[in-house]
Amino acid sequence: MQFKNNSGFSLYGQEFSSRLLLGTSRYPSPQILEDAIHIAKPAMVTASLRRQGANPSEISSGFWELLKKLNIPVLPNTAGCHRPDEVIQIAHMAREVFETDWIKLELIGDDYTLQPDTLNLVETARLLIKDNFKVLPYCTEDLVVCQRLVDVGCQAIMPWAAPIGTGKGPSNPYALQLLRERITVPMIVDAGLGLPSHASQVMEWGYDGVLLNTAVALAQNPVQMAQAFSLAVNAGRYAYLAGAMPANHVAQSSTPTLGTPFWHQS
Amino acid sequence: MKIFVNHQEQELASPMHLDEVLDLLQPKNPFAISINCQFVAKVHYGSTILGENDHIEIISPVTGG
Repeated sequence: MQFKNNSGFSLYGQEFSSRLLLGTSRYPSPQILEDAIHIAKPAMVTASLRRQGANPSEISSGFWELLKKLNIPVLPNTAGCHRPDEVIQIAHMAREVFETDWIKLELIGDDYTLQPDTLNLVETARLLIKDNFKVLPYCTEDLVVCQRLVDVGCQAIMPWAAPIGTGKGPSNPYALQLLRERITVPMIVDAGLGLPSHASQVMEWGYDGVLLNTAVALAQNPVQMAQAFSLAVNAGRYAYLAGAMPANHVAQSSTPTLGTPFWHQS
Repeated sequence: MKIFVNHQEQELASPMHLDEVLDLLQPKNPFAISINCQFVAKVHYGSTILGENDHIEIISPVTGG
C-alpha cells in the first residue's frame, strides 16, 4: 500500500511546504521567538503595524531585522481594526511596509470575544481583493459567511476554533467538520488552539493548515511547544490522508477469538 | 501652523510638503504614513502639502498574531 504524499499546500497559487503559520507576538524574548520559528519552520509568520512613538528613536528595529534575517513570508494582519475603512487603510500601509500583497483580514466586531464582524467582513474582503490583495480572512465557522467569502474571491479562509488567545481548542466541532465538507478552498484554522492535539484534531478533519500564536508563545517552553505543534500538524495531516477507521458503538476484540485457550461456551 | 504627528502636536512655521516634514522627523525605517486616516503612498510624499490641524500617523512593523 502506498503512502499518500503529505505535500505542502497552495494558497493563491503559491506553494508552501509547511502547513503551520505562526504568530510572532507575546514571546518571552526575541531570541525565543527566533528559536521557535527555526524549529517550527512555518509557512508564514504574522506581523502587524503600530504607531511609532512620539520620539522615533524609541522604535526598535529588532523585529524588522529578525523578519529580514528569517526570510520567511510575512502575513501582515489588520488586528485591532473595527471598521472596514480602517482595514483598507492598514492593508495598504502593510503592503508598502512589508512589500507583500498578503493580508490577514481581521475585522473585529466584539471586543470581549474578538469575534469577527461577519456582517461587514465579506464586503471588506471584496474591496481588498479588488485592490489585488491576497486575502486570508479571519472568520467564524458560519458556513454561509465562509461561502460568501469564497464567492467574492477569497481563495482561502481562516475560521476560528475558539476566541483568540483562549487556547480552548475547537469549541464547535460539528460546525467545523461540516464547514470542511462544504467549502472546497483551502482552510486554515486560526485562533483558539491551545494544544498540539487541537491542531491534530482539525488537521484530521481535513483542514489544510493552522495559524497559532499564543499557544506557543505562552507555553512554559515556547520552543519545544513550537516543535510539538509542528509535529502535530503533520501527524494530523497524515491521519487525514490515511483515513480513520469507522467508529463502533460496541467493543470488538482486536485479538482473534478463534483458538482462545480454555474457551468454553457458557 | 499646527499639525499632529501620532497624536503629538507639532508646530510648523509654514505649510510644508510631507517629505520635508519627514526629513525633520526622521522616522525609523520601514514606515508607512497616513494623513487624516488616509494612506499616503511613498510616491506622493513630495506632492502632499500638509495643512492646518492635519493628523499624520507614522506606523511601523511590530509583532502580531
